[in-house]
Amino acid sequence: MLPVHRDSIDTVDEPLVVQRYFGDEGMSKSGVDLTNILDLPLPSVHQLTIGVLEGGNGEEGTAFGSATRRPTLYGHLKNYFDITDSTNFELGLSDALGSNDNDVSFKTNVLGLDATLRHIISPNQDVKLQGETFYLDRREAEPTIGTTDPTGNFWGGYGLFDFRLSSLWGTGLRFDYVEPIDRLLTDPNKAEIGYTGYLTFYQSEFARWRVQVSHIDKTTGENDNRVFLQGTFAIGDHKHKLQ
Amino acid sequence: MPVRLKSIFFVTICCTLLFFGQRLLFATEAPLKIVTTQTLFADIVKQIGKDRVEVKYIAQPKFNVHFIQPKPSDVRNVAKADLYVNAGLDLEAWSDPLLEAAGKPELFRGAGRNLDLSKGVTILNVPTQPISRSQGDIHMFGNPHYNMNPENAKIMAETILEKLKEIDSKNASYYEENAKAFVSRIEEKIGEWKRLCGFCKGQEIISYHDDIVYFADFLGLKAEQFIEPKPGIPPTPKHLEFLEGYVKANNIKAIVMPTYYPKDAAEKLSQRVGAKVITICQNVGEIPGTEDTFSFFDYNFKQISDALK
Repeated sequence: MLPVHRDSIDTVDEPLVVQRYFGDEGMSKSGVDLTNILDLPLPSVHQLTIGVLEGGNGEEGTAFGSATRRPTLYGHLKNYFDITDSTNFELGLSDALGSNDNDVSFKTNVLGLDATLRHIISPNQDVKLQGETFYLDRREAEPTIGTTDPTGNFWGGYGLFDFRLSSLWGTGLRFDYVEPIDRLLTDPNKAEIGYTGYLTFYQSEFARWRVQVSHIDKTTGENDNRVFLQGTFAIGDHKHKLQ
Repeated sequence: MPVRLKSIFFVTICCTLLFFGQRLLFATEAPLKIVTTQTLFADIVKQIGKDRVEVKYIAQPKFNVHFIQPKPSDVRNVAKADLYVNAGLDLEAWSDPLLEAAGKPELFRGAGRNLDLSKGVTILNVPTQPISRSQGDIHMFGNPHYNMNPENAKIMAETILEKLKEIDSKNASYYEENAKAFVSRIEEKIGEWKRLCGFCKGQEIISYHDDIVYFADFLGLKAEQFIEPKPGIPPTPKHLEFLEGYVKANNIKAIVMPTYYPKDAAEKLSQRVGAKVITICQNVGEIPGTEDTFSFFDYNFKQISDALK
């Protein structure tokens, strides 16, 4: 899973797969983790993180059950490569193991793969290509078809293209694909597909405006069209440039 | 013990002694691993430490040092460092999170292996009144761009020397000798730069950002107006209109800026008033031909001298 600060993501909302599986704002749960950069005789950097979170999902997430007392274990291996001074590539592998109801531990396994290629054209221009995919293997103690908590395998992912045009402007596109966990309630052959475009105006180092348009084809056959306008401000002594 | 076993034992002991003995006799001392935040600092450390130090830096000089995004490879380099050299004050806001990520407490701000080069430097523009974000990106400890004055390079060299002597006392005389050569050369060059730019004293320049105060102070230049209406705030049409009148009224010949700020506003102003836009580098290696401390200052003083003639 790409661990990003909420104000650092390139779009107004989280990718659809993150919203559907982990929650509208991602997996916002209390927990503890250990991170270590592996000391390997390689020019690339490899960082391993292992951790434990309280059980359950973020708000509206469906990957795990709702019992907070059954923890979720996770691990992430980040592999980073400086291709040139201006180009770098990051490849991540992750796994999360958690409960999907009150009676069963570690029966939902989420495998993740993420990749980011970034090229810096000039101090005020860069291009980023990012993709992330999740594969869920969900096992119930007593599977019940037609409930909102079925057994099965599901997957989803997104692809993002972000282009910082200048110090003031940036734009990008995101494509989403996700197989909802409750799809048996609708059409099992369908997945939600989303198309998102955005334009960002960086008013100053500490103020940013973003307009985003999203179109989602839902499994129910309905469409969801959304327009967002987002303003982000950094205030106070803690200086943190808006990227 | 049978004779054959005794022989094997004897040979094994000899081989072991030979192996470790040659390692002890011919062991080469590993150089100190030093990470600096900026390239100018890296060059001064290298000139004093020479082959006894292995220096890496974080901020690529073509980027604005206020807003660097350290990479995982930087975290790894810091985690392996014996010494971390930085500007101190509040210039490199990314530095503390980088140190935390590297997880080596002896390199943290204020710890023994964290060398703050602002120590000993006279800091200009230290706020005397309460500051707020409404004034823009004000540095609460004073202007941190002290690397732009070559007199401060001497102070930084002394600070680096003292720290190298402290952590690697065996090579103290080696470092002293190199530092002496560096300071002597920079003193010689200071005389040269003062002669080259002596006529500039009292003239006024416009800068994109308030990062020129130490450079101006060294040459006796006046730099009170900036393309940015407030630090960190991009220029507005109204502010450019004000500058147009100001430049004309004060017969200002040069607009100075490093390479990483957008040039549009400065060029627009230049077209309207005729003042020349010139590049004044903020760090070693920002453009080709500025690869060490001396060529960096050489370039900057030549630029300003040519523009103000």
